[in-house]
Amino acid sequence: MSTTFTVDWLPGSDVLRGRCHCGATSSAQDPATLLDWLGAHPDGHDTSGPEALLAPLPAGVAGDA
Amino acid sequence: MSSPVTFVRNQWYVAAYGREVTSEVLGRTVCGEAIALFRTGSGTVAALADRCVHRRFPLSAAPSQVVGDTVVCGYHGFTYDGTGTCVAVPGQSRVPRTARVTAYPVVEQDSFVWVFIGDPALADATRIPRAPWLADEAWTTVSGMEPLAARWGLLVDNLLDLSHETYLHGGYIGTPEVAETPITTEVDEEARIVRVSRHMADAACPPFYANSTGITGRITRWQDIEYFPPCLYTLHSRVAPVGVLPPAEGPDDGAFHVEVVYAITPSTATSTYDFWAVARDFARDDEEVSRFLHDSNRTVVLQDVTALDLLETVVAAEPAGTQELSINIDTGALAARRMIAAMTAGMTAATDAAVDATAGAAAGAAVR
Repeated sequence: MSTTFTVDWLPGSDVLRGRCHCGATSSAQDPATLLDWLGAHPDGHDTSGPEALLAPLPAGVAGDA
Repeated sequence: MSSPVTFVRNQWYVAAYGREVTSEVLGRTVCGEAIALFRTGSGTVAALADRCVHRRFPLSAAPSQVVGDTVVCGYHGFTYDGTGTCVAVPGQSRVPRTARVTAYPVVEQDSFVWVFIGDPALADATRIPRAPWLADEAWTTVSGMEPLAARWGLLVDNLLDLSHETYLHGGYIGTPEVAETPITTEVDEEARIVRVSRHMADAACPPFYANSTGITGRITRWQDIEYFPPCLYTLHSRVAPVGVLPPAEGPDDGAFHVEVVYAITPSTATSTYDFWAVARDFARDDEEVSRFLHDSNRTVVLQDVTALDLLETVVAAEPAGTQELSINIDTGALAARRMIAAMTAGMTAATDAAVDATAGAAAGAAVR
């Protein structure tokens, strides 16, 4: 099982999109907050699957969902 | 007072380049431990505690000297072999049973001399991260080492966030596009690798690359970092005329590749060895290019040294708990800090046995 998570800085925005190895995703504009969320797996975030987008992206920002 | 500096034990660290270790004893302090390095008459590298068991004289200090496969203390002649065992003392035939010094596990690999700091029983050489380009005839490498009067974490911060190139290294490796281009950060908790990628599609060509590659126009510039905490940092740098991307199959002949390697070795709490190397796959026999890249990268490293030495004085004087501010460019450095903290606390999800650093290095080659 992968233990790799990623943080993408979405082009054209200040938004960071995090994707946990479990498939859960979230976004934030602060790396520390997002790393806290990613590092808290499995207790700190919804692990229900790739659709578990916890924080909606700001209007006009293209995500990967 | 600032936060205390911690070292990550039970890890491999670069103590020297292989070329530095000769029949003259070399003294280096790694993670606060003074080590005497020497090459025995049979050609192997020995790493011993730099302190004679008798009256504590440093084995790296003159007139201590290497004789055959042993080092002879320059104070009273206690003589140690490469395992740290005392094999001779002056004036008597009996060598006290307790007469020995600590011998560090040592591996010579990829032009570096690695020593293991911690419990020798945990010294698994297969966990040493690789930088194969530095000892590969298909690449030409220039390298050096600059000492830092700064804690090692400051160099980790520096190297994990290359946006500073734009400001601190303008005119050498920095251009506006570095700071302007978003990064992707990837954290492999099991393999203990932090990756930070910045791909610039259309960027100015800084003198470091213009003068070495001959490219005169704008470039497509990729920076793919792989950091293997705590010691090894690699930057896979790809430079090509703007718009030239790797082919779907076959060699990436349209681009110039540079592997920039740093070994970040804590010395004392407030000093660090900054080993740096630049390997290239072009103009391999051009000594003028070698000289240029050596001098340019050393200049860049010294710019970092000046900045980090100054930063150390600021950090050392600040009250405990002083807050700093992080933004998007800091994601990789923050991820590295967290991984180091977890390693220090022994809380990484992976067991030591599960870590396969060589797999990480192989993945790095694929990034390019």
